[in-house]
Amino acid sequence: MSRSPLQVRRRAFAAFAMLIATAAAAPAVVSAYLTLGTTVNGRTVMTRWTSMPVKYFVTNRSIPNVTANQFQTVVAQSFSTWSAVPTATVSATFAGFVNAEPVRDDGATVIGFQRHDELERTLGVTSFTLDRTTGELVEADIFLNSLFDWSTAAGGETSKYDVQSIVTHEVGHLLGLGHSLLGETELRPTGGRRVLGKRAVMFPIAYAVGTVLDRTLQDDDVAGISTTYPTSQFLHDTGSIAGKVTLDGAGIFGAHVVAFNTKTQAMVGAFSLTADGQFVIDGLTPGVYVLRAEPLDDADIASFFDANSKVEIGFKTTFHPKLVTVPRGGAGHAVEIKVTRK
Amino acid sequence: MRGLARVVAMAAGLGLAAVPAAAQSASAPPRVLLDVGGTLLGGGSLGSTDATYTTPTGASFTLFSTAQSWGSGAGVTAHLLIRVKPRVAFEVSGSWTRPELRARISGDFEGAADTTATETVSQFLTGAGVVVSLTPRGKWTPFARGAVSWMRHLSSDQTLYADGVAADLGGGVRYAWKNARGHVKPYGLRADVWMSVRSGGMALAQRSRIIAPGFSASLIFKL
Ligand SMILES: [Zn+2]
Repeated sequence: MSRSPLQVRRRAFAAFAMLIATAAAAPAVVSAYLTLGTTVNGRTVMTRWTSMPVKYFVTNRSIPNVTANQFQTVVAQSFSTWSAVPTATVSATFAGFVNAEPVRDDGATVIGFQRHDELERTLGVTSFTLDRTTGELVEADIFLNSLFDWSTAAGGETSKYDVQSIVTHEVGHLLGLGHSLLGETELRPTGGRRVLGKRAVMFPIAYAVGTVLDRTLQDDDVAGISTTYPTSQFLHDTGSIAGKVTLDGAGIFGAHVVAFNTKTQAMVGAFSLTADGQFVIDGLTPGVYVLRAEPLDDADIASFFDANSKVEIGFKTTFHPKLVTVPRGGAGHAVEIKVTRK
Repeated sequence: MRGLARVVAMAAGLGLAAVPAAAQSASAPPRVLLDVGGTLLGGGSLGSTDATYTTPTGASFTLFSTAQSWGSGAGVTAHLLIRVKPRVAFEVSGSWTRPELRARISGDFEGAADTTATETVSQFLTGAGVVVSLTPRGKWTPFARGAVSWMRHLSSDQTLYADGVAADLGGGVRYAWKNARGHVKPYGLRADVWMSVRSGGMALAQRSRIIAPGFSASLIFKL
């Protein structure tokens, strides 16, 4: 593609990995849930497509139980799930089948199956190519690991992973979203983690085989995509909570803060992303919220931050003793959530 | 209740300074009465809500539970009565109280300590109603009252507001001071108690309606 000279930062974002599969550094996280960012001229900019629709190709390859046509149909449904969010300006176009591999630095956004025996816990991977001068996305590729058994059946199939659920998660990455921590897991004796429950398609760990629940976006996903590609109505109608998380009087990095709307039961999360513990949760419906701060201990830290990040996890999950109000189109007073050591 | 005592005293002090020079006679009931005083509005439960995740089977996994309520709130109130018939008066009223919105949080899956998160809300009510005076007993005049009010809630940082309605039904008594010759002095006392249905406003739960008692005591001026 003509923009290849600008392709400088190619990163794999190993999605739905019980372990992150690649050694590539993860992009910097700029805010909330999940929004990814990159540094341009010392300034952090949001990783996003600057023009729509996103044009994507599908690898013309079938695997057992999933034909290339079935796969393409499901990929289109996954894109539709994101573009159907009324508060986000997302659209995508299927550009055709290609023989190209989904992870190739060719300037084309390609989605398809690839077999990676070495990625024994990784269902899918999204990788990006960014424009060095603007930080904008110029290419993103997704592969699903055909090491696993897959299904495109409407209601899912026992013992097989649901293609649409996993592609919906990967397309979230393709659009610029990182991972959400709205989930609880337990370690499995055989390694990896098992999901006990979650409330975000962008949680880094997949439901087990046979489950199709991740075809449907949750409040956290909707807030993330709408913050990345906001409609003017979204900016006007929603508000934010901003503040910091402190431990022994000092700000901490990597604390997960969840805003829970007790009226709508919506949950939207964010991380403290500066050394002094600052966080912002955007995309909240105006109202009254409960705030909860928790350590990042339900997924691998590498699913969220790069290896050099000093993520603080040595504190107790804590509720803020004040209810926090969110006005339309703005933020209330900054809050400080004081947590204590474990 | 210290807060309530303070606002009553404040209102009374304000009232005494504003006592009109001319007293009404005992034989001519005043056409317009203004009273200013303190009020206490009761709170109530708004129900409960769980913060949930979804399990692999689609069932709910409770991350934590919350129980929401309004606390009672003290503040100031004023009524302006305009007599339209000997025993019937049209009333315009207003009040400002500061109730607490509360969420009792418990049962956190990660073991977070139970917490009651609160927000002190300014609650403004302004409305209209009818007051029917009953047969006086000496210096005491009992009355029945019904009113409907528009309600506004304002967050403590004054960035979020929400509106609702309230309906009151209750009664009270007016006490008129008289001098030795039976003339009514230019001031009196009023006490009200009522039940109120409040709906809407700042929402902490899917249910926003509460039924709660109210009480007020005020100093009457005759205009
Ligand atoms: Zn992922």
